Amino acid sequence: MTQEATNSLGPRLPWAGKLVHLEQVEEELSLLWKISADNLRTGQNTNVRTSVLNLVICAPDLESAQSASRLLRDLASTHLARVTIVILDRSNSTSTAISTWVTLRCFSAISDIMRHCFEQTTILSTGSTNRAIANILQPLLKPDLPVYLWWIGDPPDDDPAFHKLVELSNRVIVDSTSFFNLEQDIQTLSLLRQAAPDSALSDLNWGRLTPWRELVVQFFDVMEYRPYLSGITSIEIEHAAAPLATPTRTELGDVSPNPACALLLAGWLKARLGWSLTHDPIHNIRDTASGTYRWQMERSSIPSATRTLGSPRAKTAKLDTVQRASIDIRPQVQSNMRPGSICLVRLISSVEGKKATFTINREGDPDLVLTSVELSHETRPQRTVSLAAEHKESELLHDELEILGHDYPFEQTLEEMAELLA
Amino acid sequence: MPHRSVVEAPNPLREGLRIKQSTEPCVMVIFGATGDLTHRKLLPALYNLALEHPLPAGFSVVGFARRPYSDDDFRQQALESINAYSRQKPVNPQVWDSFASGIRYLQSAFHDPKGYEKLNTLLNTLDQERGTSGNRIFYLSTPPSQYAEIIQRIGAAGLNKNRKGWTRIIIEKPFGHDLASAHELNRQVSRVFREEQVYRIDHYLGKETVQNILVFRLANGIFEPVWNRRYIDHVQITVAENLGLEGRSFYYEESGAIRDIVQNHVLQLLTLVAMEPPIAFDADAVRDEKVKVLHALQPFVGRDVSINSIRAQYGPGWVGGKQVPGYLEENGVSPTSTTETYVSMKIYIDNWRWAGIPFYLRTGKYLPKRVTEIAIQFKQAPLILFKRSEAHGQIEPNVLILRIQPDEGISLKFGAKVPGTEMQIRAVNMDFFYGSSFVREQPEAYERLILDCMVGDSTLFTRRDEVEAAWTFIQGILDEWKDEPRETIQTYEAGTWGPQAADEYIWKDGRRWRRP
Repeated sequence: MTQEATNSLGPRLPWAGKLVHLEQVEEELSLLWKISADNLRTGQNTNVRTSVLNLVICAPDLESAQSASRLLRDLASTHLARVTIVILDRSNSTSTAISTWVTLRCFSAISDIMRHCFEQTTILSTGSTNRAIANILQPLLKPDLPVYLWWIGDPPDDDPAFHKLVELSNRVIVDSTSFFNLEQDIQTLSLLRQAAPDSALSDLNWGRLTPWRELVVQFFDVMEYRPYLSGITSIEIEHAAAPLATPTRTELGDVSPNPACALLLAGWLKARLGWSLTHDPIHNIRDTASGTYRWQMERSSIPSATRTLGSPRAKTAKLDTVQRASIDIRPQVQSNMRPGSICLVRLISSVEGKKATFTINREGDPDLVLTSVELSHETRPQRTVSLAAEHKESELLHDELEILGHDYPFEQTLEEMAELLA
Repeated sequence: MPHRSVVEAPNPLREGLRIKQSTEPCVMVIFGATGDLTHRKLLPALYNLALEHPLPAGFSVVGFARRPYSDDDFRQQALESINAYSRQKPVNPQVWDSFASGIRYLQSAFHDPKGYEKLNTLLNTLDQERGTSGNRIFYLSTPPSQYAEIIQRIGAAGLNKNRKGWTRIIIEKPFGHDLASAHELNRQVSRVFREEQVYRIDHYLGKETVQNILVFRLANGIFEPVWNRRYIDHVQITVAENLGLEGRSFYYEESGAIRDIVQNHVLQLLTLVAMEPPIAFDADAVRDEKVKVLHALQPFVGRDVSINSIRAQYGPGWVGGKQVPGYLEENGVSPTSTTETYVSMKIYIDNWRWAGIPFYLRTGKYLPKRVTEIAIQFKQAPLILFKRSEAHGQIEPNVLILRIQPDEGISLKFGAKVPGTEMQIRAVNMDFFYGSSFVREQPEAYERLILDCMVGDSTLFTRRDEVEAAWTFIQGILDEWKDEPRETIQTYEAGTWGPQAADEYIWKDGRRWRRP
């Protein structure tokens, strides 16, 4: 039996442009370009048509679609060729309908005289057309250009439409800050990575974490501190949580508590330090509701770059034996920080009986962190570092659109997180 | 403290991080700390590095100069400079407090041995207090006449060697006044520092777009195959300034355009355009190839200089809507000065890739606009097809333009059919603008170069043999000019693209200067 979607008139969406029939999308876009060229003859501006990538945005509702559409203003310089915003309306399962809008969007680059332009198509799909959205989308993609899929919200684990969209895409971008079922979603992404190895995966939270990872790395760029890398026994990470006892979604769409960043950081450090979970998980803690975790780990190997040179064999052998370590993640109630933001990272190390504590602490001003190193009998100068510029969602997305291939450290971290939460 | 018997292998946490390696804690001693360069460029660059966190905790700055300032005076001046010249404003108070806690000032004359003793004590104290571990960078930001003195004093005080950490020295351009003085300065430097400790800075190499020349050539498959004498007709390198002396007549009278711009900036651009692909992207491999280009420059002999180069001084004129005096009427300039404010020359590179292909170089003051660019003009395709059409005579050669500043980017000029029933061809430009493709703010050249020095990467600094090879070529021209009568110096109207004679000698080759 065949079923035909109603190519219907949809709601009025001024931000999405002109309502057109699906099969007329290309024709209407050509017309818009022609009108744009005509306008240029009488105007002062120069419109530059950019052609580097397709961006597909999948949103669960009109509100988040419009919000994503607003954000595109900051992405013009990534040379978007066509943006297709797909709204998969799952609230109405009885009717089957599809509505389409087209528009050209131009934003100033360099000066007001030159503007970058890209095409935007918006598709509202309801009912069973949702299942066929990948087929509907295929002919609307610009040929020969990579496809980036930005999936807003939790990734579904059992939705064939989602999997087909992933297969269609060179890169899939999610934002784990907005995941409501974080632990389940991490497992979904991990499985997705195995199921669709040709599609690269990324998470905007990974970008948010970049300055934190950099600060951690910088401690051990200093040769004097490098030996302590092999002696780390404790990793503590605190994440901001709203002052409420139960999991909740804020007005901005954030979920609290959301330990996604903390888990990413823990997974990354676990992978880089070569740690593994102990076989005896009796002391582990896993309190999803509060975002509190504790894992006992085994340090079975030392990072290759920190092996001692010319030191007695016994010393190396001692380091190579299995030793205990731990990772702790806990919430810190913070009303002036976005839920999930990292508040504190502390690495405690002990080598040859000497202890060192490496701390990155966000105090007071959410845009600043204090980094410090405490050695056994000495505290080294602290440093205040600005993290202000790193948070904007459009900038994070912009960075992801500049990368085409796999981000293997992220994908490895994802696997580590999945293992921790398994 | 655990033993430092570790392999100096990469930090294993750094893998996959898209950020440059950070440095170990160190002290930067700035000689000439009250000077213009320190306040306009160095201190703002260091603050921006601190703000964007490649600088380690414990990083410290020691200002060394003659003026009687206290630590707090120097900090206050540094804050004012950063407020005025930093690319990131306003100054973040917390980051500033953290950065300022490492700033010290030492008052001393550059020739006074006691000053260097005090410096030694101060550096040892900073090692203790701030954990700088004996790592030192000496930055010579003084007039070049002081370089030899300071270097000798550093050596005499034993500051060039320390058992605990590393010591490096950054030397600002100009590196020498001619070949003999460059030789002599290199000799003085080598008595005190090993070559791998020496970082001769030419800030042009810190510009993103200059580094992009190599990326453009060597990371794209379509350009390198045509980057040779078979496909390229000629190359033009332009470094034009729309400013005059700006109060630097004392310096400029001694220097002139050839020493101020050609010997360093222009020849550096030339080497990057003309060099062979290096075997690795590391300091020595890249610089080996650059030196080969300099060695392959066909020297000017005798009359070659007057035939293939033009030197000129600007006369009165209008620039940017302002009337300006001629060079000889400028304050501090001798009325009989022979210092050139404009140079253009045609040079050849005697190697397999470039034999017979002219490189036209020009630079000058009070030219119509500030622009630095490299234009590669390709040989024309055979136009047999269009011989009888209206298009014949309208077809222009392809030109690839690498714009270094401003509007950093790349343009390719090619012919396209004008829509219509007739065969008309027009040249169109395909433009790539750096600033509109990459929204990320570009770091200042000094930020990049200082950070490179801290991590011990000298790729973007000039090596001893490179400086001397560049001077060897320039010296040939200087020697000929010295013997030429003053009348051979042309004059051009300020605000124009140089003297008529410069146009004429390129016309004789059947070519013309680009209008950037």
